[in-house]
Amino acid sequence: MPVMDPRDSQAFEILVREHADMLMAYLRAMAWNDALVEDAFQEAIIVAWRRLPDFDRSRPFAPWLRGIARNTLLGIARKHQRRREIAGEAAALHIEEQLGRIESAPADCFADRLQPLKECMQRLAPEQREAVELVYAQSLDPRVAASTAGTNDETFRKRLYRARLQLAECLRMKGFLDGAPA
Amino acid sequence: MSLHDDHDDRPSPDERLVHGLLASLAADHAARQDRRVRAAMARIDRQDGVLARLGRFGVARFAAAGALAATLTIAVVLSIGPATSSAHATLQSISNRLATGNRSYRQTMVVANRDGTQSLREAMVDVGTGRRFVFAIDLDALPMGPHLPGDGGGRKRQGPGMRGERGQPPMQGGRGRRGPEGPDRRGLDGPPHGDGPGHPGAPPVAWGFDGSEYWQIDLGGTVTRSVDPQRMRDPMPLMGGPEGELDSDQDEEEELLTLQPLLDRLGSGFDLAVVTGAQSRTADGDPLVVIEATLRPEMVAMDRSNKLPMGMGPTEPRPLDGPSIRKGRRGPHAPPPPERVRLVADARTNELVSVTADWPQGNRFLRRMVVERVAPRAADDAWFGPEQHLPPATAIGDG
Repeated sequence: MPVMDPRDSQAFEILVREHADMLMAYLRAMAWNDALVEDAFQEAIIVAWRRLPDFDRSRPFAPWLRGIARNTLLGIARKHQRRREIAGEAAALHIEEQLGRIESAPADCFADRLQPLKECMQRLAPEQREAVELVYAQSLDPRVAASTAGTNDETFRKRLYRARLQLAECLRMKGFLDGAPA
Repeated sequence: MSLHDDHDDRPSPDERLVHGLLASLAADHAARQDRRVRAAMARIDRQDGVLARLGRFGVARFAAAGALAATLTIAVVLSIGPATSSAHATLQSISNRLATGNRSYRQTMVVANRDGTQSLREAMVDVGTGRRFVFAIDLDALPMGPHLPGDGGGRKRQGPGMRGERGQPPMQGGRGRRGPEGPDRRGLDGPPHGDGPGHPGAPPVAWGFDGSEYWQIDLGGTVTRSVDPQRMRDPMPLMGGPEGELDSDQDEEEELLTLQPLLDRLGSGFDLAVVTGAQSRTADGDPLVVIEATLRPEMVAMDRSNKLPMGMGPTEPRPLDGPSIRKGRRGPHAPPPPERVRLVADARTNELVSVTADWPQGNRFLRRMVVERVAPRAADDAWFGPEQHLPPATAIGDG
């Protein structure tokens, strides 16, 4: 972690950039709604900046940032009456634990730690892999992706759903995720 | 359909986690993350003081060219974004959507003439994945025919490709004529030869990026290529904004040449509002997202105080031929941001349907720009190369 003056925004930005991928993954896992995620991402960074003087530097930055992000997300969701879309306590704990585990893997950055995920994608059935690539790699709207894949919305949605579960199972087999399926 | 919201059950924790991790695989993930972080830091700086930000970025790096200093000031302030809102999230979604797939748009521009009249220019814009694009002046829509309202006696012939009569474009030199051997390919990265890049006086009519190289075609059919976008962009800043904000980041410089920079620009320095009501549906009842962006008053004031470098006044349109592509985009001709922008997108897919941008105070020559979606033209990857955009054979005459 960069040596940081409590009000040194440059060091803070470096820190934020180091953790931005993790933070986005966390928020997406927690919220599943792009608008909420985008809002929460911005607000969490700003709140973290304000609270930086209170940060205990003997402790890791990432869990602290996730804690701020979660509270920020809950606040925004409550304001927009979308609280139900946010992961509950048990799911949040699971996500927190698994991300903590992923972060502990030796790698230079968060993206490098996702290599097992890319390997698991190669094991998906072709139509499932296509669905994942269209929606996640190419960022297509699922309706457009369904059309591109030559199927209807419902079939495509199920493909995506099964693909995600299969990826989770594969990651667990690889030891990337821990514990029983959740 | 969202990614999950029509499931009967809420997603499992594992599914949520995988969903979150997969988001990192997006092709443009890094660029999006960069924009997000910069936007957040800009808000922090706004709260903590602009001067801190200036010091942090190092003014000297940006202000190496003295002419850019004033624009830099605009840019720094422009980078200080407004509060996050659903309008911003929607804008982000529209912007993200634009980066996927091949789409085509017709662009109409209202430009001011020296005599106070106005003229129209039209172009076709194709955007594709991997930041590929084609921007081609519509030669079939060159100023001919009936008078237009406000033209003061007929369409004016201004700007690239708009001089002379149709089919008899001004031609100089003989290089680059399209023949059996194909276009004259001359890289800008090599030393100039012959009569220089393109025909002197032969205005550029199309620009593009094929995924690896930038290219430009002049009216004589000469194709120039370069891996350096700065050497290809100057004649087509119509979709960009003040240049100072865009520093040496390669990604942003590439984006400057497409619709994307305009959308990016709206994320800061503008007040955004989502329009609701009757305007948010088509006549057929299909849902639309309409966002209206208004340049903040302080931005307008700053722009007016800095907008006229090198003697370019509001009634002095850009020289007919446009500046040389060798001058680079950061010359004095990059347009200021529009004062009002209206975005319309498909509410279900966030696909951009139209953009209307206004410069009511008449900064330099551009007054209004309307971009409207049309049926996609790009049939394959070759579309984003120059070969399919050469001027019509009738334009390659001997004068």
